[in-house]
Amino acid sequence: MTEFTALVKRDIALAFRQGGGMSAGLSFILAFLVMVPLAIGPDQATLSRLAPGLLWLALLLAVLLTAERIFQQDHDDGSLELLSMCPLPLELTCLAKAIAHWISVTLPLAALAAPLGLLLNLGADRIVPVALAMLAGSLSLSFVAAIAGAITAGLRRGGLLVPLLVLPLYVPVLIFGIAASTGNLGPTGNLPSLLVLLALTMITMVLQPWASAAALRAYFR
Amino acid sequence: MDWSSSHAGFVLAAYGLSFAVMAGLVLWTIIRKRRLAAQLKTVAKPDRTS
Amino acid sequence: MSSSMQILANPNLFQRIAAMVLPWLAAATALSFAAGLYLAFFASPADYQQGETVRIMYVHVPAAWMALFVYVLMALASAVALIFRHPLADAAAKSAAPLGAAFCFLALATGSLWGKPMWGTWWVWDARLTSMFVLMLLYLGYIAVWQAFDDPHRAAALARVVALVGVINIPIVKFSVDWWNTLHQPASVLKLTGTAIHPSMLWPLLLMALAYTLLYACLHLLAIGNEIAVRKIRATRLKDIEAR
Repeated sequence: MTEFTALVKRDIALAFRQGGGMSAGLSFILAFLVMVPLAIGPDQATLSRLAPGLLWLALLLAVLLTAERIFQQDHDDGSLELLSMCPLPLELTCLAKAIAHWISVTLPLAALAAPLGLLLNLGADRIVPVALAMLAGSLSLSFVAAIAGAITAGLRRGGLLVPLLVLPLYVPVLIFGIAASTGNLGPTGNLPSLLVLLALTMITMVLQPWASAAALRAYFR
Repeated sequence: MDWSSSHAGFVLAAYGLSFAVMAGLVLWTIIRKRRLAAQLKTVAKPDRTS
Repeated sequence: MSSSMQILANPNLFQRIAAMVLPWLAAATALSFAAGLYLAFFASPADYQQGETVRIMYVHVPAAWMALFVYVLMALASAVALIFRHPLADAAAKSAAPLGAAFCFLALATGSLWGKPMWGTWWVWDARLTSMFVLMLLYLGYIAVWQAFDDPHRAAALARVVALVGVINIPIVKFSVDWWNTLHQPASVLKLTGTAIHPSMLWPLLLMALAYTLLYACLHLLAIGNEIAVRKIRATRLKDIEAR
């Protein structure tokens, strides 16, 4: 267990020191939010209607941008092979890196994105549902990003492949995330969608360690 | 089938496209087969220069 | 590993069996297409609501079925490669992908041609077409993995993961998109085939589906043969380099 938490702490520290953490994602989200009214016009009613969807898109794309970095650096300098020889199984190593990514990138972005919705005239009463939905989906976003990051860990031009691998896996999270964002709080509103997001988190939690480890082993041959 | 129907064009386009793509698949597979067989012959020849 | 799998594991034996089976498969394909097309155009009725455009169903639905079926086969082959290390399993998965992607494209394109007379627009984000679109992305991602790596063994190992993760995603996406679509559907929805399909429309559909499946079988056998040839060429070239 201590190896696991040590690995998580290491990755979080690396992310913050090298600026690969949430700051890159936050900059992207801010840039995206500026361009939205330039693209679709500043009409407040339109922006308000589209705000939850646009915020989710911003979050998904921001997390997508950081997916490559989860494994690439450690692969390039050989730390990944060393980690694979640790007593900690490779699957748990991959899980630790995904969780570290969640803590350093997706979780803060999910928390920050909803208040930024005010820029898109998101109703103040909608901030909490949107934030809840994003937080509920954030862990599975990191797991999916970690799967794609492992597959492209050794690729120079991996950036082209990551969106193609990630977006189909993001679709269910997006659909139920939006449903949870636009529903009212409570058992008939957003609760069923939140529960589905929880289920998706559990599915990706089981899938990611196996998939990332299997992908990394292809690089170790 | 009523060939003079206003939507006959769509039906024909759909079938035409489907058969064009499938014919394309067949051609691609067969042409690739011949090209690879020819490559296999030249590579398998005992040679010292190529 | 069962003995039939062991037999098919030998590439040369596979080639010989494929060569024997292919003429029969090709003949059956031609016959099915002939029968299916005859029924589709000359022996089935126009739809009460949709008119002649219902005939597009006979090329759209089989293409969609094949797109899904081939992906599942791809994932199965990847699983066999992963678990049993069957030598031809990776070749089977790799060669299936372009075929499945072509069927997926046809499903999307014929769906669009069906949609224009029915709904008035070339593209509609209904549940079926949206799921097909995501499936297309899955195919493109899988093919891209094979293209991205020079070492075929590394590419194979990664492609297996991509195929298996993708196949798990398919039912989830289907469920999600169906659910999403029910939120956004207008109240009176024009069902593509109606509640129950009449036998006069079922037979052309089944025959065309059979024809598509047989065609795919022919193409896949040939394509696996091509992959075997690619491997032989590569192995011979590597041996030449080593011999110098």
